[in-house]
Amino acid sequence: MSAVESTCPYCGVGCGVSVDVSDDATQVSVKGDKTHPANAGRLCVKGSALADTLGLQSRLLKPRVDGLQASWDHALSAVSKRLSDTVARYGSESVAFYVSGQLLTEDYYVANKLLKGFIGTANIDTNSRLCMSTAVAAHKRVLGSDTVPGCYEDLELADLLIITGSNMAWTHPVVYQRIVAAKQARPHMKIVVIDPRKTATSELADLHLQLAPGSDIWLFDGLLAWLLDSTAIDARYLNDHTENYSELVKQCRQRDNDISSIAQRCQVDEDELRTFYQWFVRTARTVTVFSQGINQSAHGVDQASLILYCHLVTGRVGKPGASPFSITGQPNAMGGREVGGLANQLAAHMDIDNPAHHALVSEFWQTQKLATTPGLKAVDMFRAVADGKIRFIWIMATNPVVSMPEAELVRNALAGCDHVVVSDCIADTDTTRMADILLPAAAWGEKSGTVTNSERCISRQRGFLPLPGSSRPDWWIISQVAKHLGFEHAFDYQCAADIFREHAALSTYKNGGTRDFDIGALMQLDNAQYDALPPVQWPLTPASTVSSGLAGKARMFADGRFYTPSGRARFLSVAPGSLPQTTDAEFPLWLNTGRIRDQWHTMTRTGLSGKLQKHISEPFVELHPMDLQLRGLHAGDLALISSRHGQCVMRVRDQAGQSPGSVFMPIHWNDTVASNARVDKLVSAICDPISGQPAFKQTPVTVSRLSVKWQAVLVSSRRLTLPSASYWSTRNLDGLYFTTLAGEKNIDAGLLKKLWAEVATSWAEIEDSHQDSLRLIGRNNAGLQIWFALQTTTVPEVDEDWLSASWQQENISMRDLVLGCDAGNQSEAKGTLVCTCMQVYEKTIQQAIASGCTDTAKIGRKTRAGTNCGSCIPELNRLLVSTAAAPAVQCDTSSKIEESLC
Amino acid sequence: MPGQEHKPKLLIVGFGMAAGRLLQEVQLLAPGLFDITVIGEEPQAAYNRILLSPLLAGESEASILPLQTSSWYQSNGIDVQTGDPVTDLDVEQRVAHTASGKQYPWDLLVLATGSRAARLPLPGAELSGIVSLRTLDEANEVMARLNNETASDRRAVVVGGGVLGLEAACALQNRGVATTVVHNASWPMNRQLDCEAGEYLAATLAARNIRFISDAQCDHFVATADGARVAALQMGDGETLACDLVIMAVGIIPEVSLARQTKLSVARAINVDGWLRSDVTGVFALGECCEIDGEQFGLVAPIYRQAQVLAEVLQRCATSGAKADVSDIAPYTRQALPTRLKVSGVHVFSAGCLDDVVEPPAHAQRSLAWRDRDNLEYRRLWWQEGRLQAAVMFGEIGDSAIYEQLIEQQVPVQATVRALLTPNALVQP
Repeated sequence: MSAVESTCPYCGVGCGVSVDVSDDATQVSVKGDKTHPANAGRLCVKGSALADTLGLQSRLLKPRVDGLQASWDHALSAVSKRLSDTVARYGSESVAFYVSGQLLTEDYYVANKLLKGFIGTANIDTNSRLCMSTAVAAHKRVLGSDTVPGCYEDLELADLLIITGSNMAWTHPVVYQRIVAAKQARPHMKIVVIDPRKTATSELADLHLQLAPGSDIWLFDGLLAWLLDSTAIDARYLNDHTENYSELVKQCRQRDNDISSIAQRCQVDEDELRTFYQWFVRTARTVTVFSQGINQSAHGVDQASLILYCHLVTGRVGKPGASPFSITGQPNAMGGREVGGLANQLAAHMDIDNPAHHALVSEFWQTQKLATTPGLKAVDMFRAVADGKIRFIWIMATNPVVSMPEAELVRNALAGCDHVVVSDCIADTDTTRMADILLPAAAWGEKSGTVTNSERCISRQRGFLPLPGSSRPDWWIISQVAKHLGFEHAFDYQCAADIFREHAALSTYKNGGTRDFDIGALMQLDNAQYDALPPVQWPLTPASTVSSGLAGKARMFADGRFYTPSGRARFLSVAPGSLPQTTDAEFPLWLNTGRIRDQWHTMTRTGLSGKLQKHISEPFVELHPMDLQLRGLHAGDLALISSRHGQCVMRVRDQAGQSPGSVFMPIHWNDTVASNARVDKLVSAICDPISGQPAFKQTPVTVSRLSVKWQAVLVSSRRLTLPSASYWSTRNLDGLYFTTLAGEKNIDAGLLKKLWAEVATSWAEIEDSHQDSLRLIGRNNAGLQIWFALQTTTVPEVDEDWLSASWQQENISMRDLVLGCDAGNQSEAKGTLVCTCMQVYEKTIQQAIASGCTDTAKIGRKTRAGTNCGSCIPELNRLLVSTAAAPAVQCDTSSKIEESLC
Repeated sequence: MPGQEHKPKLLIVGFGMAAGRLLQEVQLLAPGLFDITVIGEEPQAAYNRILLSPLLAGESEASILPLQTSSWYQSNGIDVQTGDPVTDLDVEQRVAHTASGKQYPWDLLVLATGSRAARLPLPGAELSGIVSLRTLDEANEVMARLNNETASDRRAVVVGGGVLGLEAACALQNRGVATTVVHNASWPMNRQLDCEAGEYLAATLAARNIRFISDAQCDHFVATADGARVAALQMGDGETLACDLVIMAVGIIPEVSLARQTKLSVARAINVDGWLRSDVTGVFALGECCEIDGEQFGLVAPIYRQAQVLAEVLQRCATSGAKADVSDIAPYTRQALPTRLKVSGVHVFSAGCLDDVVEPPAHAQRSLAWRDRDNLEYRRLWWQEGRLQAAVMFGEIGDSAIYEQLIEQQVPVQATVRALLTPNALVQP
């Protein structure tokens, strides 16, 4: 058994994990790394389930060229030949890379270097465009550099914490848990959540401003206007460290931003709004955390700028407990930004249109070909693919067919593209389905390098498993292609550390304090030091020495010096205005998209964990009860959701926390796991004009009931051809596929038996003369293969845990099996799985509450729910409220619950 | 105690299971109230005819067959006359005459003459070796024949694939006799089972090496060369089924020859009302020899119920006269008639009126079926207007009592998968 310290590959919190690996590498367990500054041992449910996702069954393990398995040599030759042929024929601008915040910094660096530096086009963009480019643009505009001024500790130190456009409780659970603990320790700490939805996060709020979709910009403009008239203005700071302040005041005063018009625009209570503004005025230690609700907007850069302005005019930037704080979505969005993964960046936070930077990088890389103009940003890039301007695209570690707005156009664009190369660790994704050449990349647990989290902390991701099949690290794949293209001299890397040293060297090359990103102290690390590198925050100038222990900088700009030409923060014009689209009679509802607690992105990895598939098992659309009633919809119905761009089918959920007139849908489901749930098909590719980030949060849609004749559940030991259905959604629970289906066309047992004849040779079944129900159990020599239940009313019930446990048991009663539960032990329904870590269901928690547990700590002691990652605590709180506490019973009578759980 | 001569004379003619049960009920309800005589044709007192097949199969001992011990009759003062059939009834004089010339007067008369096995009127049907397995004597005869010679090369034909025929066939096969069942319908037990359960049953018979010929047309019996015994059954399609034993199990005919000699109203059987009263005061009938509103009886459950009713009625007549008002006594009412095939290892259950169900069901009807061919398990339930109408089970019949109850009581039951598979939740514990 050996322990390896690494980092979690999911969100931008960048938690450290400690991985125990058995000597034969077959047993892996993952827990939080107590020494990592981001999480100090905590892990959320996704991180806790990492060991479940290491199986090889869905992996891409061999290169494939034009549908045929190929050797690396053949695949690399094919990639480089097609790339160079395309450049020769159509010019370098006809080539593009679309990369990812899932790549490690070293992979990212090499990809950027190859395309911008040696192929000579800046057509490399990253999925961070969909996530962080607004924050990048706002930081650069206002602060002069893409620098997050604060750190996680500031969120704990703040007396007023504003969380805007983030459901952190689900998306960044560990940082959220740090906030929860801080608020418990310092109850006077105030939390304001700004979100059109009631979320798990808003439950912690002292004040939840449930504003109208897309009205954030007005809310912060109103705050700025309010501040300008208040005592909170830090005149000295403004005088010493900012420029253009008088223009800011002038423009702000010209806008219609008095509190009552803001309250009206945002549809929030004026008194509550005043409370928020007053708190902001009064509280020196104020932190504003912003994320996708701000970034994914058509005027995202302006509203992020306004947040920065509110902090600048009060002098609250980069001070302990006082700072704006952009929290990133992906594990290495920051690392990508550092190496220039965006089409308008160069490398090491340098600008492509800055001649001095251009010369510096050309010199450092020893190239004459360095791109001189910004490349195409993600949305434009795929449009150029569709238009035939880009004829070769290489997609790495991301799934744009699912994640891009107007996703169907992206798919069609790839279908029509001459050459599509995809590097991925997963064989079957919506994007790999479009590839001509597939390259098997190393996965988490195998690859090695660095990532940077939301607080500028560089952490090592370390491999602890051998490379399976022919998979290779992304940096190796890219470097090999570079060598095939004739750039051996510039890509002769032996290991990730070689690349990291070069990256560090470039960051400090002719820097001299002119650029924020400087990790010169790390350019001399030898391989062993690199391997042992502890988490450390940049900047780390050469002055910091490795030998005396690395001390990064927790906060930036405390000295009031910014990376603008003048050294002062800049107030540039902002233009609060209406949204580019409006709802109307045809599309009367606002669609908001986001993450759910237990899934990550397009589920290619979290979908492998049975545990994580239980919290929410189907793609859904959430509506306010009033909107349901208006449309004759009920929770559990299937709904057709349409926008100008496409349609989806999802399960309806009743959500009183949803604002009337708006709906929420998760981003995770895709064509490999559901019939029609790629939500980004619906989303308009309208982007912020500066950052190019798409406005995912506000798309006009309409929702109507999808009438079906039947609903069914299929459980099978492998994925089966499905009968014609209006809807299906599948998930893998520890080796069994659970598929929910619904359809309009009658199906009968005969048809299904024929369809699955190769899988099962004998059948047991229930037949209904009215065809209101149908059940089928299919077996072969190896045992149970298929379990199928159909009803014309609701979705058939099945006890998933029982069925999974009974699947291979010899003596199981066939009648129990066909019922899908232990009929002899007809316990009450368990309800939904609330605590994924400890596998505690709703019913158990309600029983604990009824037996006298009056807070989450007591529930935790009794049921163990919420005692690991804590991301279910908001749900526990909701259950505490909703479960009418029954008279308390003696502890000993309820100890049964504990026993049954242990 | 008042003089015994004042006790009313109760005469029971026929001494099968119905009479045996009636005696028990009477003694339970009104011990010593009557001066009772029971007269039987068979040499034994009442015995459990149902156990004849298990007896033949070697699964039951002859000793457990009698319904009561001889000492029970003695201690209850019941005059038992066996082996001496009644030959004449004088309803006017209220006297019965037996074959041996004895005379038995009565105050109250119960006819419990049962039924005879039906016999196909085929040429050769009178040959030796063709039996009906209706009585203990016949069973003993078959067993004696099987014991005398080695069974392994013996062949038997059972005519009739109903409950009795199949039981007999299984019993013979159990004794190593190669047995063929010929049946004039498309599947065995077609009066109790739907087609599919019939198929499961046929498959089970086949698995036991019992040949089952459906839609069979019997033509005639072939005699041995010496003409003494049956040698084969010749089928209409030309096949010859060689055999040295034939068991006829093609149904029963109510034994009403005595009643027909009287002025009693007799249709196919003796007409009685729900209190088992014939149209002659003081004369009753129960069991296979009677009919109520056209319904005849062949299964034991309704007959036992009749015995219960009749005992109460007789008690009333003893105290208040033969014309006593019995309207406060709950009469016999038509029941669902569940059938359970009692052959070891083959579990078959049927309840409700299968005559009224059709497949595919008519508009108001609905059926749900569960089939598990690998495990030879099948069940089908029929509903009409939210109530269970009939049930058929094969293989696993643990829930049969619940269905029986649900059909009998006609409680509302939803047609659900759970009702089909785990009905225990549907009835009050």
